[in-house]
Amino acid sequence: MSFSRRVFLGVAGLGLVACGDDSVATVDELAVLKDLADIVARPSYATLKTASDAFKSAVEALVASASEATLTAAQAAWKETQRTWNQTRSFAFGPAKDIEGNIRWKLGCDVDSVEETITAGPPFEPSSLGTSRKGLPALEYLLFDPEGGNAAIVEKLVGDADRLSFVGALAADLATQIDALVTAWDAHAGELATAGEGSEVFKSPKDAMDAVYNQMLYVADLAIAQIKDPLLGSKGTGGLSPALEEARLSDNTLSDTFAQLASVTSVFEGSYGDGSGLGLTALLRDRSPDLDDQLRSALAAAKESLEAIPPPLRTALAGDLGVLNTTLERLRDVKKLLTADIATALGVTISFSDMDGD
Amino acid sequence: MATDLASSVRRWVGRASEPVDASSLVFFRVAFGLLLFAATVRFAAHGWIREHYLEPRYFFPFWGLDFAKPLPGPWMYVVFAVMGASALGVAFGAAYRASALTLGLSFTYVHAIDKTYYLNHYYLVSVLAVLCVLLPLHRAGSVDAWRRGAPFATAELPAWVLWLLRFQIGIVYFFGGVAKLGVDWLVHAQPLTIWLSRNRDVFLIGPLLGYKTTAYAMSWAGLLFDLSTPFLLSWRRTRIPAYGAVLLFHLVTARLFQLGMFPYFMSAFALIFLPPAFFHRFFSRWLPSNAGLTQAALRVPRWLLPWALFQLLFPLRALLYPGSALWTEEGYRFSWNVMLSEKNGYIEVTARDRSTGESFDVAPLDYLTLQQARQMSAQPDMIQQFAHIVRDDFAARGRDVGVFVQADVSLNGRPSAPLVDPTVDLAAERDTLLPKQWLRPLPRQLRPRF
Repeated sequence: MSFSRRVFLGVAGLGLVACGDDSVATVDELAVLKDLADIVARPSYATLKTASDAFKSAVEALVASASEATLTAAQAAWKETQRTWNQTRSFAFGPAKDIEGNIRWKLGCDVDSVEETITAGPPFEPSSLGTSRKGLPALEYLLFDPEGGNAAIVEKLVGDADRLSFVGALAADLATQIDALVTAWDAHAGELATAGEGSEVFKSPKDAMDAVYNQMLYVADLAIAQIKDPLLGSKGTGGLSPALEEARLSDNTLSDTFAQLASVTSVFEGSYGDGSGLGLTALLRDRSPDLDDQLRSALAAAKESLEAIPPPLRTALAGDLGVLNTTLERLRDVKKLLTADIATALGVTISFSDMDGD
Repeated sequence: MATDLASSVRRWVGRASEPVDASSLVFFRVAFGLLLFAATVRFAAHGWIREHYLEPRYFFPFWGLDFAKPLPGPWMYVVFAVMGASALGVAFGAAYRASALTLGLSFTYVHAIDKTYYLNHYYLVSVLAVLCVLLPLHRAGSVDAWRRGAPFATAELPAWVLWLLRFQIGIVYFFGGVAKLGVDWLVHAQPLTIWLSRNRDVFLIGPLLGYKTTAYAMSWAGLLFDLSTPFLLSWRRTRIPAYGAVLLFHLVTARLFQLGMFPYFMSAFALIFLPPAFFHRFFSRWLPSNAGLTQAALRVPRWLLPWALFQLLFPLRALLYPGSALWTEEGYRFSWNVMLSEKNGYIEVTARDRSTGESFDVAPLDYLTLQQARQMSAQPDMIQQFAHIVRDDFAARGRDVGVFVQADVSLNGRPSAPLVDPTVDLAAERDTLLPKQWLRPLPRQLRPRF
């Protein structure tokens, strides 16, 4: 048989194979990315904007007339903004990287710097302030006091017009920043949905999926840290460390953890609110239904454990630590599956580097 | 029989000492230097100097090379500038020996600092840079030859120089093939099944890449390609189609995988197998009309045999260690194990105060960059080095701790399994080249999921 005939038969054989049933991947990654962009990312950012606009309105009411009622409304609106912020974390790449520090600086709020700014007096220009003096953490400090209670906060606000003005300025700035983020991400969602087909950011669906997956891992880490740091310590401090609870002033840590876990689940399921489409589960089920079932179970178990923690975390840390340890273990189970088994099965590149390989 | 062998060796030495047209060696020198210059510029343009050497607080040097540390401040940029300049010196054959030595030392230094970024083609460059120092590639078609003139400048070089470079390039392909003689590659078609299925957007062939049969076909084709390429390139009748296969192979793999300069290096270096006459038309004007080589210059050097034996035996040292090198990574690097594993790990690190019993949960990202943490999580020697980093950090804060690691690793689509014994204090384990007793074997019953 001639060489060319052999080549033809070989290629034809492969073509026949393509009609066969030994496929390991039938779900289109781009289809998943489109649904994640349109059904999860855009709506979750839109919800964030709605929440921050409502928060701004609530703070305007507080500034107009500081009272227990207006403070409580502002606190509830802050919590909703914080929750929806955490829900968007799985899409905190692209334009989010440039803006997120102005919304929630990862190291939190520098209380002394905030007080210094208030003491210096108006005009308050949040755009010129460092990230440790503004955003969600600074507003949490100004609106919540677990020891003194709402009465202490109202007293401070009523007695200090500059402080009230500063709260108003920060809330307005927060709404502006979130508005900018949502607008930028709306365009970026388009890049995700056209990865490898005209996107200027993602040269291939693989690149886009790697970005989504890595960010999802990061959010899983955030959720773990919410429980681990106050429970086991961090950065060389061992044992119970309640001071390391991230949202201890507002008692919002458990809610934040729920939202972060929900963010991971949304990407996995391809669903948000009433919307449902293709998520990572479609890709995973294609390759290994067993692994897909394992992750579903792990996510459900982690959520169940979180629900079993009597809120707030501040008091749970002073009580039975068994449920907290179980929650931490289950959150780590999710992370382990995502990092080792699922990343390998999907061939995702775990890192934020563009390093070569061989 | 001994007499036959001795006479064969003498005949071989005789042929190796014969002069050959230096054109292909001029090409190799120019290509090597220019590609290294391009690679250096690319490395800097990606921001990797800062990312690899200035941002990290800790590093993972290779065994025995703990002294290789990044220079402070802007000096790493200076090192890369010197590297780039010396690469051009090699390309043009200007102050050649000094350029080759500088290139070899600077390149090897920067890549010895941290094994996080180990790549087989970086090792290849270091090896070729050493050869550049040892080989008289500047005696033809170079600035040095032009300046020094006859008898230094020559149009011919000893055949053994050409054969050695062909041998060195052939080694990469051959051992790349030997490494593929394994169950994962041939029986499970992994990791190609995983990797190909992520490239279904590739023009024309994309839809075929989601099939297991395609992965098998490409696994076996890759094996046959790697094992046969050095021989097919060496035989006159198959040389041209073999080089065509080389180009096609590197074109396809460059499109499918993020291999950086590797495809370009190998595509260019494989041209060394073409007959010198092919290159003569391009370099003839650079070459003098005289031969210029003395008998002494033609002689096969004594270091050639030890060098060749080392290149043949060193990649096989993984056989001295128990278990699968894909899993344990003992004897894995510097053995031309190219693109053999999809491996990810999840680790939990605990430091325990030996005096008080107090436990500390250690987050790798408190010490390492994301890329370092990722690579470390599935590589035992890096896990051990990290344990030592943590030990030393706690010691600096006045605590004597043991460090224990739980590492669950998934290899080539298998369910994850423990890589290290979590009861062993890795901080107390010495870092040696001996088999690591604290490694857990890859469970035999675990198969790739698909």
